[in-house]
Amino acid sequence: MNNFLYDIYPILPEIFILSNVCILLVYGVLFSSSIKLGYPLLAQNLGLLSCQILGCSFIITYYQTFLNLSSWSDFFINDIFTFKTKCLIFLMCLGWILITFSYINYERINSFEYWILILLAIVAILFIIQSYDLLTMYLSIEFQSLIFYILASFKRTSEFSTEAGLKYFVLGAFSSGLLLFGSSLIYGLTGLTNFLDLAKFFTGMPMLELSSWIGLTTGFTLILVSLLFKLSAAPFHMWAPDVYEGSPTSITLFFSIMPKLAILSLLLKLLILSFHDFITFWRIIILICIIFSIMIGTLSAFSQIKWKRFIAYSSISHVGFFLLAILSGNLEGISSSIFYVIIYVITMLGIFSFILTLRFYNYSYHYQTRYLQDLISLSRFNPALAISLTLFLFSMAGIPPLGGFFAKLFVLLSVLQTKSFGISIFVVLMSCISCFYYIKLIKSMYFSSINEWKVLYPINKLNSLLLGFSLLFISFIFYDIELLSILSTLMSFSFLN
Amino acid sequence: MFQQLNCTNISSLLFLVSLLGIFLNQKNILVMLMSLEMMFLSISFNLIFSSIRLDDIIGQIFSLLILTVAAAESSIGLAILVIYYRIRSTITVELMNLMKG
Amino acid sequence: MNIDIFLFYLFSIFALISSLMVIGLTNAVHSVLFLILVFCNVAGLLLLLGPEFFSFMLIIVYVGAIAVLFLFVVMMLNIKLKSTNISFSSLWPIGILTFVILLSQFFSSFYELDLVKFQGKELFFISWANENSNLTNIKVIGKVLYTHFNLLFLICGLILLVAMIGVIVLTMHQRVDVKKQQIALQLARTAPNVIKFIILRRKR
Repeated sequence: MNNFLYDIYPILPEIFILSNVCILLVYGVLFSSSIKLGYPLLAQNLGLLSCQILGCSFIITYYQTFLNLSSWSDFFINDIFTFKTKCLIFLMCLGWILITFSYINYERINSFEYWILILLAIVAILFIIQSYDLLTMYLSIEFQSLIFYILASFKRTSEFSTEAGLKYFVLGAFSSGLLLFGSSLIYGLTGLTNFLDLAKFFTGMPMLELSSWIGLTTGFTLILVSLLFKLSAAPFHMWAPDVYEGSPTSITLFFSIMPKLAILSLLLKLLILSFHDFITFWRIIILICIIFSIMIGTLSAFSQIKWKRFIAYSSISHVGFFLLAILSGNLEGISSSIFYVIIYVITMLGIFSFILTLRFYNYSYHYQTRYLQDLISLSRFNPALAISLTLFLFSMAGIPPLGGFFAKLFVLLSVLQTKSFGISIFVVLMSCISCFYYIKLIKSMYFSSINEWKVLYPINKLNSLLLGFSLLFISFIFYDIELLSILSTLMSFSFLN
Repeated sequence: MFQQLNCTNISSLLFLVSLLGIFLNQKNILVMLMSLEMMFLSISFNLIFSSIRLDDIIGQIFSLLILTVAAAESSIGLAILVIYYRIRSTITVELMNLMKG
Repeated sequence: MNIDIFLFYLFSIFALISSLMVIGLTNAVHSVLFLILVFCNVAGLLLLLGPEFFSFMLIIVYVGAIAVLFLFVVMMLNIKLKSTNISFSSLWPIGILTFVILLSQFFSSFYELDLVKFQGKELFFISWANENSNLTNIKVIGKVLYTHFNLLFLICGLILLVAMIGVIVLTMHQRVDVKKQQIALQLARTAPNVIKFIILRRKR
């Protein structure tokens, strides 16, 4: 019985969310199909309720006593990393709901199942963060990606959305097939599935006989490839721009912020903990991925004309940066990678709250911006929005006093400590090139001639709140950088072995 | 009985055939989904074989989970296919090029 | 010749050939039928290996549910059969790579195949008394799945819930463009409500 309580305690927030999902499902089905009430639309109501649920579960997580144990017969791990990451995920999701709440109203996404799927996706992400076994890793990744396929094709009357869902489904199922084949090879050769058992098995392992070495490396490569695929790192990035473009904008934001931290934690567990003795082998794969993703992310972002594709390519190059931090494989690298992810998420929240607020008003309807050229001379008709976007773009480019600069600085410092100069020079050059197109956007905002005056739809309060918050955070992080760096260092301690 | 026969070969051959089906297929997505099913089948066969060889139960549990997930996945995939067909009234892979960049 | 090994080769060759047929045929219905053949052959292979529960489970789930789902969709979508020419230009590197891996696999499998060992030299006796006290496959799984692996069982339940919600959300919608028979409306119709006289041209 005692043991069972230790199992239950670390996943209390998930249990809370899941029981609420059941209640909301019954509530939604009963009320949305009742004739007496006239088939009410419950989307807004359920959105507020799920906001409350996430807030409550954040409070539950925050006030939990920290326990360092592996629960559910070693399928889950609970350490300082998972504990802090859960808090971060809840905060991120609260920010996401606040930003996209108005979008749901404008675009008339009326089915209440949307919010239930979002809550289930949060549970899946929390499961991924805690998973400590090949079995739970597969199941929770599959749980997450099944929800993502549905969310990507949620606007079922739009051609773009359904096509994005179909593409995402085919490629995602293919990558989870690779994950499965890799784990079946590893299981067949070692008979182990637990991450810690694998680490113990491989420690100080002399070179095995060739056949099993080939099998193990093949299986490991396949798992790594599928995780990089889910992270949309470069040679495996082909789904990301299409899916980002096709799916509804709120879902695009969800895809671009939520799974990154979860998949990264899984990658860290696999690379640093279980397969640390293969470091000479996986370094090459990660290095190739870094070079490709920074290069493709930087160079293809030039030719984009749509916002979402632009953001997809820039997120690919950011993925290259967090992989670069893992490359060194030491504590500092991990902490700088976590730091980079947090800064990246806050910047993304800011940029998307900008995109979602930039709605042009054409009498009797208003539409959201889709193309980058809508920015032309934005500074004339809304200087506040223009300056906020300028600061975000500068932060993404890495201009000194802003948050993005420190993120890139820490990553490069941790790489330079392992004396890998070639890749760091390459990365600096590429980020110089990427500065160019960020500045091109800023130029079009400030210094281009105006043809016609457009009318902007007034910004609603929640979006402006989040925009202002993330702007303040990005611009004044230099004042007290330890606010985040202590957190990220603390989180990286759990990978100490 | 099957000490000398390597079942891994059969399952990896099946896996490669289904990989070929995904990559070389240009006609319709249904065949692609079928090859995904075959892929899951070959993996679960491989897992069951290795669980028998190692005399361990985890592989069989794993394949049971794969069975469940494959059923869920194919139902979602076919649902997406149906709504795609309703709009476009075709399921050809070649015509899936609305978004290009 | 040992009957087990003969059956093993028979099933595996049939499975491979029919898997090639699945990806090669143009008609989707034939592909589904060959998919069922692949499933049945793999179930036979599993029956030879021992885990009888899994072999029957495979038939029940894959053939009974998934293949029928595929057939249902094939019939529902009513796809026009058009043989389009495959453009190999974009795909040949992947194709050649896969082919080389396939070929090497084939060679390695033939290398390991030893024809001398085909004959069963060593006869062995089965003591049925011992076999009787063995745990069956399904018993072992039942003992383990709900105790040691209970977390996985719970996550599976969540995945099935997601699949249910997702399919309902995506495909169920009230269509307005389809004409349906509404009996209450039909019965309520009377001649004075339906027929209307309009004066088109006023006579002078």
